[in-house]
Amino acid sequence: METDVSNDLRRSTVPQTRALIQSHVAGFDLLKIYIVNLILMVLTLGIYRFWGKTRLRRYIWGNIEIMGDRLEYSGTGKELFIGFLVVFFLILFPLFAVISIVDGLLAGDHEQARLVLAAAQGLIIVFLVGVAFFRARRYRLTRTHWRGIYSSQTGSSVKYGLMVIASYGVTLLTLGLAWPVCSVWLKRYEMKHTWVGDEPFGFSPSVKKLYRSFLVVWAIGLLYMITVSIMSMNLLDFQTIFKTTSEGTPSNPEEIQALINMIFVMYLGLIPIGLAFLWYRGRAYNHFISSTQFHGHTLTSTNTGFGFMWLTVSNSLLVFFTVGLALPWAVKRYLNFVERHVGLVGDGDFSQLLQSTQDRPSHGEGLADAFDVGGI
Amino acid sequence: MQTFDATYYDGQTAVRHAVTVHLYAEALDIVDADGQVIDQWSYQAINLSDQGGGITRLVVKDSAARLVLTAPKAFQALKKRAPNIDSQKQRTLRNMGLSVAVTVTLILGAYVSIPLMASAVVALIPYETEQNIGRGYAKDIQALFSKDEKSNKCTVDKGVKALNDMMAYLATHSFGPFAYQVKVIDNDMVNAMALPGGHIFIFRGLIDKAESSDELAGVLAHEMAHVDHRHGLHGVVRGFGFQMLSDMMFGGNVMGNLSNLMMMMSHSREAERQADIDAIAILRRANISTAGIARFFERLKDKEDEGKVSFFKIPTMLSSHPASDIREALAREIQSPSSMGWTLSDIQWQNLKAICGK
Repeated sequence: METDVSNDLRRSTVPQTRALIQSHVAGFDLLKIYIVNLILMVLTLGIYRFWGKTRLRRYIWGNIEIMGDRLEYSGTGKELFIGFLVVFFLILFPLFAVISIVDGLLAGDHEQARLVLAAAQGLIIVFLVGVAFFRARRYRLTRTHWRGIYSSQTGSSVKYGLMVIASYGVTLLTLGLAWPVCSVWLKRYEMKHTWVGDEPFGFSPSVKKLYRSFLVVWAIGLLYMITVSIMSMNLLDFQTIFKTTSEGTPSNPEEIQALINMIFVMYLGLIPIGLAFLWYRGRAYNHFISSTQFHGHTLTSTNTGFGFMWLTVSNSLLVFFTVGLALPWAVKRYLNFVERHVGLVGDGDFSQLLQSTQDRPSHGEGLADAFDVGGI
Repeated sequence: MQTFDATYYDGQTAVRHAVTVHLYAEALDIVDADGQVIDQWSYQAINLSDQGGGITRLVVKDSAARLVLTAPKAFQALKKRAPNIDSQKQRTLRNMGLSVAVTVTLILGAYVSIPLMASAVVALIPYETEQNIGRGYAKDIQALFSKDEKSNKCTVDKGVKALNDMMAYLATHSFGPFAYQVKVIDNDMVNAMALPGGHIFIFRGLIDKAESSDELAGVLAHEMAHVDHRHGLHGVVRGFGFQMLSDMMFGGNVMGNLSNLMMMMSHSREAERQADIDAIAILRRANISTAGIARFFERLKDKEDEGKVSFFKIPTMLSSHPASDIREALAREIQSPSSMGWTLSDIQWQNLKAICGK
């Protein structure tokens, strides 16, 4: 039946929006995989994670259907394990051994030199996290097949790592204001270097559109900072409050009340900021997806900022209140969300798409494993 | 010959082909709608990609082409002819076995190789560097137990002099590369420690518990032996190796940390034994009776037996020190023939006991 429908659509020459993704993921199947993985992780002190991750991906990829054909994940646990060994022995172990030895030599007298070393270590870690993300993306793409052709990624992971450092630096210096520009810069590099078969993606987002939503979040953040600063300035003196309380002498109840108020506002204020950021992310995803083109088609997205915010909040609550047991259903809900909202405009004809000619790495994700980036 | 409907992707284009699969004795034919054989796969070269949702996807060696079987019977029929093809279950079981084998290999490999590598690294570190490292650690330890160097009460002049006299005398009978520096920390713990580069710390609790200067001399000799063997530095390097391993290999989880702890402990137990043996050698050369240190261990043992030291008797596997009864036996067995050794005078001993003031 499905075959017939998509054949009909393929014949149609009028561009129209069609469903792109269909998820067949079942919560209980996923739960079974999670539980077996967990037991084996414990038995092997975590070493099974490479094989467990692979098993999970094979299941999820194999149950996602794109335009009538299921994806295939062809990576293996062995490839992940080798990737990990390579990174461990060639990069991380020597790197951190050198840092520790230098730190040991400086111990005692050279406090300033140690601070410089710690800063350098932080920069190296940010750089490596960027490199890890990009390399893991390449591994995953080259292990993803659709209709017998595989996807891939060009570009340089070192360049991407440096871009990540620059992005974080500029964002920090502008108190967050530069984030949309930086995120578009990074996303464009990712997407322009992403291929399916012999064709790269097109990507044309507009920074201006992102700023309309981002400024709302940024204003809320600014308001929060100003409120907390004013409240803390109104407090007379922290030290006197703590001193008098610890000595048992009754302190001015008004001061104590002001302190409690401030702590209350400091924590509660984080909730609207978090929600506003999720709202922005939902809108940013919508924009990024709608700005993506491939093989004469344009992706469309109907998800809203509030829709994404609700999905994330409800999924978090679901996982939290079931102590993680409902994680499979959170994954399923996420995939269903994507299924509902992402579409494709075009004639639906991919028969001219040819097999990729890009090289594929023989192992993968060592760095990503070490820094725990990339989720599934 | 059996035939099944299937879907075929040629690995060259993103085109889906509806095909019929013909199973023969050695290979299968993939036949398109016009009856043309478009591909032929030898059973030897076929393997499973994935299986689930009623679908079996097959791959063939050195090709990007894929064959997707949808009929449930199709895979059973194929497996009968090509038993070397894994099923999903076989693959999962093999991966489980493989990961357990990898884990055991890694642990055994680490247990043997990390201490060896640590010894090599320690041999490469110059004595001067070790002294610098030790100075830093000594500062940290002092900061941990007192706000600053001046607020340490255990610096009463007469006591310090007695302690240093004892140290200087013992030092003439040990042959280590470092000059020793000994300090007392104002704390109830019955313990002593040797840091890299010759820094020795004794806790007040140990001085309180010691009943004669021979006992304290035994403990000092033990810590000096640690210094001579560079055990502190070895422990730092080894700990770094094990921590790296447990964090990175095992993802820093609880089980990984436990195995890390057990490896550290069992290796430091060897170091303790070595220090015990060397301490006895130092005491014999210095003509100090080893009966003192034996008595000290005996009292520790009694406390352990009474359960005063700890509620549970810590299993040897989890303790960083050899059991006290073993140490006591060792000290008695190799007891110095001469019990007429060097000792502090009563006054000196009283001064030493009062090193932290009253």
